[in-house]
Amino acid sequence: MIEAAFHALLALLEPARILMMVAGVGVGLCVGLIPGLSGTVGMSLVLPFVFGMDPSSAMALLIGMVAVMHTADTFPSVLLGVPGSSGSQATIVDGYPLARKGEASRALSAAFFSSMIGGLIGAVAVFLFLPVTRPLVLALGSPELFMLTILGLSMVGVLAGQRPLLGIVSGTLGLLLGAVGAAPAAPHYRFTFDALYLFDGIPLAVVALGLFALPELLDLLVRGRAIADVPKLGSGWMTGLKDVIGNRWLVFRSSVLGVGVGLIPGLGGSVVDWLSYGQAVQSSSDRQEFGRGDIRGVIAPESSNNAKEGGTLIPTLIFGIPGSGTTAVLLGGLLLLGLEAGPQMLDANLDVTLLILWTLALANVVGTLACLLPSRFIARLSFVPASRLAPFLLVIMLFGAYQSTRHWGDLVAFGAIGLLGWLMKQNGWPRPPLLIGFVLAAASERYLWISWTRYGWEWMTHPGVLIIGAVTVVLTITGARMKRSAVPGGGAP
Amino acid sequence: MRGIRSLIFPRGAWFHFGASAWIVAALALALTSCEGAADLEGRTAEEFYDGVRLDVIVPFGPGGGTDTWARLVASFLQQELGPGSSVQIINIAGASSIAGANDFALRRRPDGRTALVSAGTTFFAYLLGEPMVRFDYREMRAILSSPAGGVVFIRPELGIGSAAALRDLQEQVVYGGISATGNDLLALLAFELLELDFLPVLGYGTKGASRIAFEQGETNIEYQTSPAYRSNVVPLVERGLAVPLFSFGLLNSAGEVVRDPVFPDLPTVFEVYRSLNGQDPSGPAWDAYRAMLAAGIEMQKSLWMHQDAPEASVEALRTAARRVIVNPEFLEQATQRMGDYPFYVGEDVEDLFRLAVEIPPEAMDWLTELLRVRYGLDRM
Repeated sequence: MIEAAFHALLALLEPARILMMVAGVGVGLCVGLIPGLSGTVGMSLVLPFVFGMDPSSAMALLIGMVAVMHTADTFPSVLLGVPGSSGSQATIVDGYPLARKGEASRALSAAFFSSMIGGLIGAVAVFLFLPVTRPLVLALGSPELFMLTILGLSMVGVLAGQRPLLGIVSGTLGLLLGAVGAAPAAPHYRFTFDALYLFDGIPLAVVALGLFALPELLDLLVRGRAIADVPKLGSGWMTGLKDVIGNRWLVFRSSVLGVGVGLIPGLGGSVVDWLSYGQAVQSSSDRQEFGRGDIRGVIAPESSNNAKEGGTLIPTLIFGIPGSGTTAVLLGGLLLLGLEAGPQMLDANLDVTLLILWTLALANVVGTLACLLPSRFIARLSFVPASRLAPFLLVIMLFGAYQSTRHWGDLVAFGAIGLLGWLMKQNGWPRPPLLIGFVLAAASERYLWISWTRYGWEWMTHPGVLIIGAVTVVLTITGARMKRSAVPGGGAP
Repeated sequence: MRGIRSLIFPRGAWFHFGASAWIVAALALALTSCEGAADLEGRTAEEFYDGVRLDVIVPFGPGGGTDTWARLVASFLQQELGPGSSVQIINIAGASSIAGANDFALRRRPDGRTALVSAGTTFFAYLLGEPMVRFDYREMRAILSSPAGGVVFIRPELGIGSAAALRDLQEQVVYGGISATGNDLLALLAFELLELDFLPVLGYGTKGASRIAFEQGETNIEYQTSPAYRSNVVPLVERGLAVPLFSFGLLNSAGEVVRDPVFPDLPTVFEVYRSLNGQDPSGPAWDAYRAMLAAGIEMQKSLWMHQDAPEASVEALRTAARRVIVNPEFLEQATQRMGDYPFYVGEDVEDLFRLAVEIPPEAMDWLTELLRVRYGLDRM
């Protein structure tokens, strides 16, 4: 396999392919930069070129795009408090306060470096685990997948900060919102009010933008000043790099978590940043700065969201099941090239698989450099007065929301959820639990329904179910206890 | 509501808000007025698409099976439509393809500039009377269609070596699928017809997810369409992890079920029924199966125009389609991606369409009752 990997690297290093990859990186960065645009939009942009291209070049283009989509999305998250894509929502919680303290370029460089390392770890992990992933994935049946969604939902307690009860209410509200549209298992429609727009439920991008971006915009206008509270840009990108090195274990842990979540098909990779953020908070003894600009709150989600893309490649390539929106797009690209995902990606088409991994790794490095170099200039955006920035932002957000389905319902839903998000923000209700509930609603219902029709009560006795259930209980209890014992104002040990 | 009162914007903000709204409005106006208004009435078929763009609505997201079919057909149609023509794919996904088909029927003018790609799912939604359907194939004209078959397979532990041995089945089999009103309907109808004792487990997100459930043993009987079968199930069969039972079959021009050209060694549902029961299938279950076979398999992918589109545009597209389907380069790519299936143009498609919609009333009643009682679908 080592020799095959070497051949694949040589194939990628052909100038034409490198050029294709760089073009893909360019598209991916733009798509990531504009809030609300997802992999599907990127796909629509490059599809006309992919059709009829030679498979390796097309692959370089597509993977180049996929690899960096969660790198550039950090810009709006940190600088504007607006999620650049579904993968960088958790970055807002600490990245945005950092920008307000004038430390935008430190936060950005920490984010880009951890993103790059996460992406590289993702590629290496896929390579190492390629031969054993099939039995691993096959061990997770519907009851186990249901329990994993419960594990994800149990994170709402940690993410709710000091108000766990409100977190549970918010998470339940998210589950309810996620139930809108066609039921996952039966031919029934819920809360659709006969509007065709609601048949597929509210798009994730609309919920994320409405919940986080619109309230931020309103508050920005209310304050009437620039995003940063201090007049000059603080410490530079070297500080960010030092932050990453100082937290190398966090980077590693978060990346592994990202790969793991990505690997499990059907879990909804879009919550990985929140899970990773929750994990960073849970494992820290000093939690006071989280939410007010702790660099670890940037490093954890950024490492895992890019590592996840490597992880999701496994179910995508070997089983033909996309683990995220971006890989769904990739699967489409493969199909257009006449390559069907399946077990043959490990033998007959192993060269394509290895080429994909190399491209993933190389594109990550290129993408990080492309983001890092201009970041100091882009960071100045946080000094633009609110009244000049806000109209521009509103147009971009409406554009992003409208790209979800290109139906006017997107705009109505964006406004309605924006209002909800603003009310929640004003009243100090935690919003991340709502998003987690929303994302996991369909998957949890689906797998519970399947477990029930297939096994009746018996599914509860599966060993995997018992193990994941025990882990969930232990994590919830220790999380709650550590929260209580945390000393207010305590520094690092 | 602490914040309500604080939502009084500073003056400057309101001013810029207003300005940007004007800019957006102006942009929107500019975009909508770009629409070329050349009158195409009176053009002949030969010149109809000269300098004219044909929009092809694909009611699914980019990259899926139907999108691939549409893009392949579009790229070859463009070559045949003459100089200056272009064919553009527009993906309008949503509500299992109802959104895109509704958009075509309600919002696109019948001026020959827009065509619709329909899939088996779209047909089922129409035939089963989904409440949001606003399109009607009777108000459309067929251009091109091609079938895509499917194969039912079973896990080896059940001890069944072939479809003929199905009567020796000792236990209830478990079928995994997406929903009773989608493509799985055909498999469910085939099981009803063969009087198989089966438990339907529906709700898997995709046919890929239900295939994993089959590999896990969560389910033990399953169907996949031919491209997915060839790439993902054939390796399982070779390793002794799956046993193919039968194909859904195709319909010939006389309306008889014949073997799938991609799986010539596999019996069809018709043959299996005959070997199990000693007689030809008949009655409402068989009529319903045959109608759904015409809709879901025989016309799996098809291309349509509005009923009121200029005659010249329909003629131009049908002529171009006739040339495309004998182009060796096209056939090679189509076989590689979709399998070696035939293509039908114009009136031939409409003959197939009649097989699908002329379902006898008692068969429709039987189907409605089945979906209501067994699958809880009560809105038909």
